[in-house]
Amino acid sequence: MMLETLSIAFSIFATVENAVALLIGVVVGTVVGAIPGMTTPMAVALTLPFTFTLSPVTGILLLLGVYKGGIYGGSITAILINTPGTPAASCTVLDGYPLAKKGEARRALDIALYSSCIADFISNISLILFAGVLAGFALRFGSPELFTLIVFSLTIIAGVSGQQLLKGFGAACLGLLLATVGLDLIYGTQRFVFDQVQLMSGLTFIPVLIGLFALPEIINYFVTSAANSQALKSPLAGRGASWQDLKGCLKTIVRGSFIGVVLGAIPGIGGAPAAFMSYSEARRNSKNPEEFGTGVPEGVAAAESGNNGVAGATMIPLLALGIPGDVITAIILGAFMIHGLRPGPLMFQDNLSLIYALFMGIMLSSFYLFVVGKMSIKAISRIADIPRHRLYPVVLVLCIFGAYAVNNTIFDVGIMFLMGVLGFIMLRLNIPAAPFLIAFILGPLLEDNFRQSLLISRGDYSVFVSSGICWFFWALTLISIILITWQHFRSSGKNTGLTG
Amino acid sequence: MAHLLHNQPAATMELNRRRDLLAAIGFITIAVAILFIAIPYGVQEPKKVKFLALSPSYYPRLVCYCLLGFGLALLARQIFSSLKAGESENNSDLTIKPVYLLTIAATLTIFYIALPYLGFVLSTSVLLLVLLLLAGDRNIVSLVAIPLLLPISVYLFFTKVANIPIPGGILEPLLTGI
Repeated sequence: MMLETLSIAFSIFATVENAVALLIGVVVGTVVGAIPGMTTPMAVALTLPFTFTLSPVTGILLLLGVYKGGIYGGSITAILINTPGTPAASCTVLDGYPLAKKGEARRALDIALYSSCIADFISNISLILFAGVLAGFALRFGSPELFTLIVFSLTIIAGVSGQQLLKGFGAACLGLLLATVGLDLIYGTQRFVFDQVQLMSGLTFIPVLIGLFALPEIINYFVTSAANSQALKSPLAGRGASWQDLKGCLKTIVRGSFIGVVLGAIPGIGGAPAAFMSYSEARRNSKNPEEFGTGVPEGVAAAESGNNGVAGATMIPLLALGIPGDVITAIILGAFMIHGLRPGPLMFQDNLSLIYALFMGIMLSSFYLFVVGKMSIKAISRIADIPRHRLYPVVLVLCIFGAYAVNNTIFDVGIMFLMGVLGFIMLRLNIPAAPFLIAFILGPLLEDNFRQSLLISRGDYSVFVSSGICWFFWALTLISIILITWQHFRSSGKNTGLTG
Repeated sequence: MAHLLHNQPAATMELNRRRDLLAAIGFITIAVAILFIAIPYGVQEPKKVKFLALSPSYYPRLVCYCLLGFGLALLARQIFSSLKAGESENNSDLTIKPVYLLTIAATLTIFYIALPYLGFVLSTSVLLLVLLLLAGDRNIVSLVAIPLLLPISVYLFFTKVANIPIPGGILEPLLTGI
């Protein structure tokens, strides 16, 4: 029976159309993901109309290809020009761009690709093997559990602040405050909107990301170096990653992949928290945690494995329960329904061969991701050879188009400029930007789950210690804080010893 | 030379101290401004709130108090460290050139104001030309080719491939014909 189903699935999958659609999807996703302002959900949504005339498997594989390519593509600009193509790639900036600045752009891109492919593969295998188990576990996450999970994720702020711990916490508070702009979740009243319609839905990620990371670097270049600027040729391309690099990062990649798988299976979490948590764990387990943020391959591997580990796992609640975990899987759910299919337990009974055919395609996508990524790295890493006096104006114009394209509003371009000014001030005052960004991304999840929990418990704070999962994450948070504080004082002591 | 080298760590320390001081003052000012101006005027409270924690201003207030705490801690650290470090005469900030800072600020402000009228293609073309010149590019080919080709290519990509409408401004009639 099983063999018969697999044989039917193989016959559904093994067509030229499927192979080509998946390849096109991965290529389109990689290219779009690499353009600042073009998000993966946007690319998947734009591809959706093209699937109407295709068979269900071909259409869904095309969308999955775009999804997986997009997640990897976001890391390319994060590494090369300090501009994450997607929110999930924002963690890759922390070590990817410093590596590129050291002249090791190709090494960083290679590490990002290998980590993405391995994490994607592990995520796909997990989807196939543990869909049922993980979907059941994910359903046990209510608002209090999600709140404690996000609190634990926020401990990475201390990690990425380095020696500037107080400034890092201050920056994180600013990020949390900025994330509160918009309509109140529970009462629908205005918060810091000041009757500006564009602010009602809050600030969009992409203009904030671009403004905070890409613009300060550009402004700083113009106000400090432009006077004596010559045709500076950036020696960034460098060598690719070696087998030793990959071997050194393998443990981090596997750990990050599983973090991505578990978080991906929880509806509503997404790639960014997974990337930050994976990064945090990699830093905590590293022999040289103080080197994180200065350009270490492990940092890139942790971020990329975390956000790519989510890719296959987000399909778990969709396929097993019919629940879309994020915007992209919601669009893919739409594609299923357009073709008269309804994901969920019944689909495993009625259309098992179709699900297996999709699994086969998903496995092929990891291979395509590797091939497309490897081919694109050679061409793309040449960006790093462009002299900065030409690259920066071009990047600024791409950022302007990208910021506008997210919501089709010039207001977002203004937000990007304002965030650029803020980022520049932070750069000059030595305030780390990463804690601000992490808090801005995780802030809405933190507040929503905090208030929803209290709404459910009627104001009783004991809801946050009401389950084993909550206790588990509180314990992890406590251990994390103790370890980070100990590491901070130890390294401060070392520095004092050196300077004293 | 030796005298300069000897003074360098003290100068760096003083610069860092000034940065920390400015950051502390910035955090405190922002926290106070939000607590006493932005929240009372910018957060609409519903008539009746079931629990204090559900109030729309509860969470921003909580974060503001944290920000204030971190700002005060940073300030306290600077006050105590300044007693130990003493005064240094070197107060120069790195290498910011005020003229360039003003020029870039003016360029971006004018660009943002002109954007809705001129459209993306024309305004980004002019912006590119100005930025390339500011960055010291004197190669005539790149000064012509980049501002001319890049905005049109990006415009065509977004409008024709990604189906995202980009305002063409005064060039709209010309661009729709492409």
